Amino acid sequence: MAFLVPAVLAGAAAIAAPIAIHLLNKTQVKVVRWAAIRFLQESLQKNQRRLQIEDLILLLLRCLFIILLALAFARLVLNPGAAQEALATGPMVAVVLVDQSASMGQSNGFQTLFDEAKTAAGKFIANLAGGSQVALFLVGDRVNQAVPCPTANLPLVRRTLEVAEPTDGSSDMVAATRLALETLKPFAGSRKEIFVFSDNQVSAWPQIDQIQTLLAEAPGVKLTVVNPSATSGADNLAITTLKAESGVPAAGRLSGFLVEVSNFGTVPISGVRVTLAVDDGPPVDETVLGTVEPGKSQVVRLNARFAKPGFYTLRAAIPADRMPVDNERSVAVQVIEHMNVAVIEGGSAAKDKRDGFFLVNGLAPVSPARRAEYYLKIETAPPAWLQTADLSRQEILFLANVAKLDPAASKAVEKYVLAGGSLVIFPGALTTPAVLNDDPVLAPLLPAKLGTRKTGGPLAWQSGKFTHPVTSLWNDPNNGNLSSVRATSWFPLTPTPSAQTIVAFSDGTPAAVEAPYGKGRVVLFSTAATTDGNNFPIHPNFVPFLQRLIGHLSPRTSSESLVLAPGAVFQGRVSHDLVKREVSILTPGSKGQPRPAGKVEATNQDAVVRYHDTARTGAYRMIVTGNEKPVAAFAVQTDAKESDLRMLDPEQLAILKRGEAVAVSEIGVTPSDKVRRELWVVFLGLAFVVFLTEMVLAHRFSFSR
Amino acid sequence: MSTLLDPAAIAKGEALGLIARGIVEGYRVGEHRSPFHGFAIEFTQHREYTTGDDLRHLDWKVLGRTDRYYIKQYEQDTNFVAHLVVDGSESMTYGSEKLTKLDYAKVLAACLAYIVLGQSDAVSVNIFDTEVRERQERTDNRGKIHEIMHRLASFQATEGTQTSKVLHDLAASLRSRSIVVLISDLFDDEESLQKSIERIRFQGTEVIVFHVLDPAEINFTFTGTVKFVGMEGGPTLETSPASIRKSYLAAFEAFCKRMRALCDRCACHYVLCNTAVPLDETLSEYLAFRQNHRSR
Repeated sequence: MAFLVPAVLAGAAAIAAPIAIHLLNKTQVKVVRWAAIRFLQESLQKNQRRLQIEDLILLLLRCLFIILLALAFARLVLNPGAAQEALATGPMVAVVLVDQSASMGQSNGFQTLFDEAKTAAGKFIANLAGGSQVALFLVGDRVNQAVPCPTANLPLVRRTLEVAEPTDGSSDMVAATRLALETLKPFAGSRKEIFVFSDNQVSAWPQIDQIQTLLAEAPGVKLTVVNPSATSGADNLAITTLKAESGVPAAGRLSGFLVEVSNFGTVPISGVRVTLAVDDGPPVDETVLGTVEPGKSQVVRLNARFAKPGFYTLRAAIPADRMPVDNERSVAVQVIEHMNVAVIEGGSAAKDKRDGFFLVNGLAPVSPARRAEYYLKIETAPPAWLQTADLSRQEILFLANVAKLDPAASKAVEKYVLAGGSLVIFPGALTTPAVLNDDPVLAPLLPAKLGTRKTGGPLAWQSGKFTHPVTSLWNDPNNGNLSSVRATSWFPLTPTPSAQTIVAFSDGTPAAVEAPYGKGRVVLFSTAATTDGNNFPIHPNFVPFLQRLIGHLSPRTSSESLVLAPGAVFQGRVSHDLVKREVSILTPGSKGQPRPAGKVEATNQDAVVRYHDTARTGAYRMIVTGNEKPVAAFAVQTDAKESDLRMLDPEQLAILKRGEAVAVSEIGVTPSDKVRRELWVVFLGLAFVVFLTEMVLAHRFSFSR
Repeated sequence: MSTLLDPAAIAKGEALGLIARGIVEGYRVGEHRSPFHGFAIEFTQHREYTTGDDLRHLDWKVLGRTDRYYIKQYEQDTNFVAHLVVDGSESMTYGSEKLTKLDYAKVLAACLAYIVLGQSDAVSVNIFDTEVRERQERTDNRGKIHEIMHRLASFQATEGTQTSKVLHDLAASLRSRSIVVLISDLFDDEESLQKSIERIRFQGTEVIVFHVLDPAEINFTFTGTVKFVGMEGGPTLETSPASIRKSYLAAFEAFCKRMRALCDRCACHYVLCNTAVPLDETLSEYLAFRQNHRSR
């Protein structure tokens, strides 16, 4: 036998209270000279013994009541060994963090890890000692404070937990822990604990080193990390990337899509079938992967052909495994019928020496006979054309070796870029840097200042480490090499702060830069669009480079803008004719049944559709009532890091353990089991019985007297 | 009226006289007959009714039997004597408030003396404990009222009680047609008290007992622990009154019942006087009762 709170036994000294009261009453005697003493004497003689016995019984009951209360609160346990354990089961103020990320969706074939976490957390909350207060945070892309403040209403917390669903997002447990510590801060003097129910995925603890600092700043707070399933963190094959290969998806053209399949397991996997489907249709292309080594990825190209222009969603899939969320990945594309591109040539040389010759052939790499059918409609023109042309019809405007633009043309170009057009500038022999740099209209557009043309070299382009989307393809040497591009004559570029380098020379100076301006973007090369001073136009990667550049610059076809993270808000521009029309949406969980998504809204210049509920990954297609074709489409993709189910390694767990943190696979003996071994309930019950007896007897005795 | 009974005033003869007069005069407003009238008057004969006779003296029984109008005639003998016997023992000095039972008894005796002398009857006052300590001999002189008041007011109690002895002594000196008014808390030997009253009654003397009690004695509302020091040589008892209240009240109520029964057996009037009840209320209630009783 042992007492968990022996200090409370001192409370048994309170039995002195009734005795003291009794004695105090004796000392505070009022003296009365009494005439009718014989009646008093008569009563006393008759009742004295009975009174003494009754008083003694009441005194004993009152003392017993106090002793029983003291024993109850001192928490007598029969098994002394359990005393220390049971101490940890007392009332506490706790914040329960439940990992809601996509990785918690991994299943053991019977239930998901999230279900197991909910069950474990629910059981834990149910077994907390009376008087405990609990807050519940569901940790997804953001911390959902489902029960923001610790409450003693534990059934409410459990009900909230029961209705919680996993998200397709990622999680940041360190940030959630920081928030939990803030929540516990006001509860001074209480036993404070944070319980994390998570799969201990490495990506969920991005800055695990900070845990020590956080816990050091909040002394007395204990962090317990609970992984409710020992089977988590096993092998996982995932589609980690799905994107358009390059160029612009156009109707009738075969469009390539890159599917990256990653093996996060520990054994090589081979023979995986990868399929690509358009919208809700059957697979349009498929392939079987070779061996994917552990920790490695394999990228395959699958093709799709779109019959008509419009919005399409594509879904790449691999066979189902224990984590379903990353067995599919979707992307949305806008397929165009054609795209207008204008090439402004500054010089007036012979046909094959024209400044736009290589550009035109690179943009439309088909025979002249078939060029009319090609989706890119290229128009070449002199600079004067800019003054009269309707630039709003052009999606991309190339300036090749343009010496100078007159003010009207400059204004037209500026207006075009501000409205969302893309401008690509290739300098040339006619280009005078000072003229461009000092042009009051064009100078602000430029992503870099042009220096005086240099001749020398040859200067090669960089060989890797590309960060720009246009050139990132060549980070993989299998796709060719841009380092074989050489320049013997170039204009040194000094980028503006907002500029981004597309490609640089091997000495680190920019070869091409890009910067936004208004709603549009401007790209400036340091070399000519001809073979004047560089070999880029005749380089094998010139055509793919241009195609990727077009795909990147085209505001309509950029598939990247149609891919969102879970929880992000989608906003897409639609035709003004559709303003105030009802919009419905096909979502990943809607099984072909569109659901209302509001109306087309009119903004300053555009008509837009918005959608907020993007928690689930997959393809979303928005349809205006009366239209068959989607007016907008987008895809929600989960963070590829979520597919990496590796758990915190022993070293990382040690980081947790070094502080006031404990990582366990389960919470062990439930608090209620420990409480059952205690006798406080018995003592409390006995005290209640004694209290009732005392009340009844006191009433009865006083009545009989 | 009891609120007007100031112990300091009662201790002064003039003030006591004024208090008694105030109470009595207040009672007499609208009254035409003394409640004691006729005690000492003997019926002598009938005579025929003549115009102008008081119809109150018409003998209705004769009228009923004979259908003739007769007036009853009385012999105006001598004045009756009211012996006021006031308990002045130590136990009468108890008072839970400022007013003691003795104060109350003094005022009551003063009022009765005032009434009796006022109707030309004689009164004697005996204040006793173990024996008569203060005496006002029989007198029908209204001028003696001040002396009576003074004697009442100046009396200080010190000793125990022997009511029966005093009553025995009084009985020996009684003439016929007297009224003995005993004003006491009756905390004495009940048996001897009964014998002494029986003796007085045997002589044909009417006895009226005013049983004066303090509200604390009647209700016993003490709390906490109280040390009761017995008066007149009684024991000292320390107890928790709340725990024996019920038992005490039962014993005390039985005592009061025995006293009432004693008086009933001896054909005496028993009047319980709670000092918390205004004296004029108690007195007028009794006198009204007495008047109705006599008129029947």
